[in-house]
Amino acid sequence: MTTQTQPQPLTISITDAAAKHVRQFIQNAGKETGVLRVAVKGGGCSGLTYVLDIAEIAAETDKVIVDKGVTIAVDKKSYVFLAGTELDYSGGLNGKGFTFQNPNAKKACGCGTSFAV
Amino acid sequence: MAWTHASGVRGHMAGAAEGYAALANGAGMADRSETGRLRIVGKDALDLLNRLSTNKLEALPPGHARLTVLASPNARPIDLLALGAVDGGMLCLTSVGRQQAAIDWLDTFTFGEEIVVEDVTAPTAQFALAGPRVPAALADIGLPALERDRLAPVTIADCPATLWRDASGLLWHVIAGAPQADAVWDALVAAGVTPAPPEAWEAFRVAIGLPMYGREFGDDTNPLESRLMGAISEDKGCYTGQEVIARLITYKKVQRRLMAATLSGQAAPGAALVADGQPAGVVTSVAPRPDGTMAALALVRVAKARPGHMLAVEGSSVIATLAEPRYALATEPPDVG
Repeated sequence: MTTQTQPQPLTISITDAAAKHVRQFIQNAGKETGVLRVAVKGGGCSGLTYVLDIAEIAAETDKVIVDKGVTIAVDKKSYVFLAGTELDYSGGLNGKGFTFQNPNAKKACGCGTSFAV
Repeated sequence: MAWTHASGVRGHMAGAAEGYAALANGAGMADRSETGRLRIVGKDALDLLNRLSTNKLEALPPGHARLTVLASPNARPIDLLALGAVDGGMLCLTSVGRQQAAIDWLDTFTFGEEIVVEDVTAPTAQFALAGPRVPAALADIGLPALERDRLAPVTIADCPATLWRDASGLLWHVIAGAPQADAVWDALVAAGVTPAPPEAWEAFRVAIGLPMYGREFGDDTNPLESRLMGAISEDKGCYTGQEVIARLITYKKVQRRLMAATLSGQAAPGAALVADGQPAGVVTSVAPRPDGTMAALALVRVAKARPGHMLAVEGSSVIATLAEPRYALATEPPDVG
């Protein structure tokens, strides 16, 4: 029997739990609409760190994805490191908040916010 | 003896013995223009460097300098950088030939940050001064001796230059535009600084234990075994390589320690050191002193890295007698054991 490896989807997805919290953040910011900006920046133990922000609109050069009603904007360089990532939310007292399932990450640091490819 | 060097500077040069003596005991100067120099500007530059390197760089007021290691996630040094805040930006000294590696590394980890890194190695020249009489020579031409890790814009022979005292306090760097290098060099010589040839500089570097990329540190070492603690902050929080460095410190996992050594004969970099037939370290640099003795640097297993300890150079009758490297002692925090 042979098994086929499914190719990673070249997009960024968001779970229901994460989408709910993003909408809440937009509301808390006193806005009716907003864009979830997902990015990467240098730093953290493993070299790259995830960055989340709420923006008014996406930049012209951004890759824009809509999932679960949330508009996600990613700059082109960050997208190289984030393609295929699923954004989740882990709530509760011991929850980690937003978490990233990134198929490009070969290594992550203990706190989970920094990764290496 | 007339000479021409990479910077295009011409002038009289002392012999190796005289140059070494001046660097060690008088006031000596070597052309170090082959050192990499970068100019870094941009409002996000310091924050990015803080995230990517080992020292605390949240604030670097003008005139202040700091050592930091640009490290990989597994704490291998990309390079040891000396960052100095100058008007509107930073001057960054890299290792010889490592400026492009530093530029590339920073570029890889620059996403939306406002930062511009310019290689100014070719259009500038750099002289390293050392010796106990350097402050007096600088004073003769109206220049301050400066505290460690400080730099200041100065004028030498009507030429704008930067005077920079390094983190150890053992060295002063004078950086000027390449077209002005001759005039600056001549003015320093006229102030009583003895020009030293490259072989005198290398002997002095080894004698004080100034680590060199590719010898005492590089992609097969970690910054702790190379005694670069003066470039590492233990309380700054997350930075690239921090997890590995914190683990090495917390669990005392550093396996080797950079030591100075005097050799009883010849040995080449890469020669193995042994104690009781067991591996004890590796020689990283060797340079003859003017008195005929051989100075060396070596990465030595921690258990054997004690001043006065004698190790054998494998396959020969040469003995290496260990000592603490001056540069490490001058830059390490006092509580480093």
